[in-house]
Amino acid sequence: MDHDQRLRSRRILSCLLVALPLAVQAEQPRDDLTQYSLEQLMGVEVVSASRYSQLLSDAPAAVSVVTSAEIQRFGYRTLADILGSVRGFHITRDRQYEYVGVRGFSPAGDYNTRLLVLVDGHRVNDNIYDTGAIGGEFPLDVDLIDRVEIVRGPASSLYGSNALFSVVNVITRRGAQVGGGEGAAAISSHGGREGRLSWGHHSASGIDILLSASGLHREGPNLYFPEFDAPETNHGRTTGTDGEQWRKFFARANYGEWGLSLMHSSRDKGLTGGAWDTVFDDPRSRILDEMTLASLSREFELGGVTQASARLYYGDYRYKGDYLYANDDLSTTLNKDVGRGRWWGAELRLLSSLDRHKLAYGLEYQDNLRQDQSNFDEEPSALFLDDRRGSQRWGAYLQDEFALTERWLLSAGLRYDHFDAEHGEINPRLALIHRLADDTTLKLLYGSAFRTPNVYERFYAFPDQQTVNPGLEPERIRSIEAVVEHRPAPGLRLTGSVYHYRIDDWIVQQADPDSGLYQYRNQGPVSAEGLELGLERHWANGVHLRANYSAQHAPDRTETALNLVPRHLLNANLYLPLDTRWGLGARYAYTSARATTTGHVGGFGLADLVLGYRPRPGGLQLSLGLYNLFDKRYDDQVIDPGVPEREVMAQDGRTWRLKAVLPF
Amino acid sequence: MHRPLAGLFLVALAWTGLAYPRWSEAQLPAPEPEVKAAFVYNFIRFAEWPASAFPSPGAPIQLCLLGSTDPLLDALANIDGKSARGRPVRVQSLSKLKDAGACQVLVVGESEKRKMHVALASAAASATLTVSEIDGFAEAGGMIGLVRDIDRIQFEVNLQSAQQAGLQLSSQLLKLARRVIR
Repeated sequence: MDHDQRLRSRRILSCLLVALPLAVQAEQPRDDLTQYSLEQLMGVEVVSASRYSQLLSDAPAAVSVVTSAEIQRFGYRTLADILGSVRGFHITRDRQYEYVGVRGFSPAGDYNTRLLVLVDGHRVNDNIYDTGAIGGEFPLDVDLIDRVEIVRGPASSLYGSNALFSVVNVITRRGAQVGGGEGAAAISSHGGREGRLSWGHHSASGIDILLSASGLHREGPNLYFPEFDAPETNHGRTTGTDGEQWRKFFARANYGEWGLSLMHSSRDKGLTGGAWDTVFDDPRSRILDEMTLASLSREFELGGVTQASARLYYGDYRYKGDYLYANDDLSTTLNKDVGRGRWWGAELRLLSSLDRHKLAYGLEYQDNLRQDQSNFDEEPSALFLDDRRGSQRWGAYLQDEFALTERWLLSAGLRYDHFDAEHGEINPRLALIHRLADDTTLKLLYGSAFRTPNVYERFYAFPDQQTVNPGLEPERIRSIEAVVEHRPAPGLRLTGSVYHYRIDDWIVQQADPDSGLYQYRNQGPVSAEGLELGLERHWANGVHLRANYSAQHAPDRTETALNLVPRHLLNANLYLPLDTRWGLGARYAYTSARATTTGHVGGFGLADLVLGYRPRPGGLQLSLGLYNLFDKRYDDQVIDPGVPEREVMAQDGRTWRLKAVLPF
Repeated sequence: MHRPLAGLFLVALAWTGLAYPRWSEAQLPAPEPEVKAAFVYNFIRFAEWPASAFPSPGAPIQLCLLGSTDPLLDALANIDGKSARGRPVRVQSLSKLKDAGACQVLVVGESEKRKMHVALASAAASATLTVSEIDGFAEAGGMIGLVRDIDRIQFEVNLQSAQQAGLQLSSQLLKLARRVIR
């Protein structure tokens, strides 16, 4: 650490220390809410009981919330489906994982490392690839979600690394909301079957428990890959290689100020289409992701004005890829690609309210016990990579929300992060919020965030495909944004935002022009500008419309790396209650053309329709979902160093799912 | 400006300005259960019971809570003793479902989703205003359902249920409702 950095970190720490004693002052009593009129109450912003989500929903940013009711009504099957429905987000699929693009950025070869995914405030991104899991490998069954809070913009000032494009906080249902046993079963196209058993209970003594186990098995569709259209590779046709299976387990208990949670998931996906140059049409090539997360938390009050939350957590992540390669003599060799991560950490978050200040501050520490990567052939045995590491990081932050006047609110935050024994990062955030009128709010935001290169980007190598880059620098993002929220009438909300993002030292995968080897390198600067418009309307007859449009402008490619972003995104979700039992959820999403390595892939519009039947709330629920209703043929771009001629991959046509949920 | 200096400046700025007028309280965020409890109190002010709903002219409004400990039910305890429509409001927990008819207001806790139908059936015989934050409460025959809309609280009214019970809900209440089931 050089002198300048040491000085910086001292200053940040002294700021935090100054804040601590000041935070323990007397608070002025809040107005009696019962004296408010209904109109006034409807204008009061509410904060959740959970302190973790409280921090998040108070984050001055453009926020979207997707509730469990919407998940049911629109038949969302994964977290990726949920994210794909909000403004500024789009999903790309390659039959291995699902990738999210946010506000003009969707770098090829990115495993959602710029998205921080939290479950009840607990970080889900692993410590090898930094993957923000959103597909089948996301450790929680979407049926257990109460709501998803999606906060846009850089948030490293509160959350540290990875919070570049967005923080996605998934809040789970409480035992009281389940209130007994609940079973779910579904069948779907391509031989899909899934089931879930849950039990929730809230005892009179205040213990809230939720237990759940679920699983999915899908054979997968029959597929055609033009790159393999030759007699020796079955004319490009393959069966039973795109299957998926997962198992998920979730347990949580809360008692008073104590909370304990345990999550485990395992997802096995067939590697289809000869991806990464594997043998075409052979089911032995597969990828497995396993994750276990445990956390123990306690909340307490300090001096009547400070609410504190302490958490101790543990994580274990395992990736195992089986890649079957053909040898010159037509025999095959099974190559194993393994990632093994293990970590524990502790965090302390505090929230103090005094007079016109609301302070959020805290400390975080994580010890990465294992960050190991290996790659070897089974027969004949050969070792290509055996990289074992560990690391530590810590961070400290302070954010103050200060009510300047009746209509102006200033929020300023700063976080210092220290990692790798030599690097330090400082990230500020500044927000000015102006209430133009009771129904209109204007927010001006400046934020910055960073991401340290992960061990995969720095140290992973595979002969003739990818090489290491230990000297990678952290990438940094800075953004300015203006947000307008307008609620002209009850049940009607209009939102608009314009933003400018700039990324320096962007970490992207690119092919070396001389060797042809792929490597993660720092590039940039790159910038993006965009506009987002949102409309949400609840009609008195129960009809609910949520529509949004995003225009984004960012370069399709930088030097040699690709950015897979469409210029325009349109999303509309309409829910029509047919009577008190039947309801229809209709969804339309349009994605405009995107660049590929040598050309572009055309835009497409997709429609989904979900018919729901619920004879009475709290009872049986049936739903039939039709996805890609008009059987639209469309492609997503892919980058595969093993199959360089493949630039696009055809996506699924019409699919369906029939699902029943029965409380008992 | 040098980055750490900018940070220090901001922190310093945050501590100054104590002489400015206060950010109006109505605009400060508040805990969800307290806001919902205040909504319930307002609903009482906008509902009109038939005289026969009370045992005597000065009898209190009995607000009954159904469910185990729950943040909303805890917050409602704070409106005990306040007055509305010229009567004091008495908050009590409901131990037996069949006693629901004696309550002028029944708030069903989230944990009681499974018993909701039984509770609504036993309250239906009398002029009892039923309120809950259970998802789909108004659709299921409850009178007022509290719903969260991102960071605000809104409500849905089942006017049919209210009219069947002989309760009058003011037109202002209906105007502000996000959904009215007629």
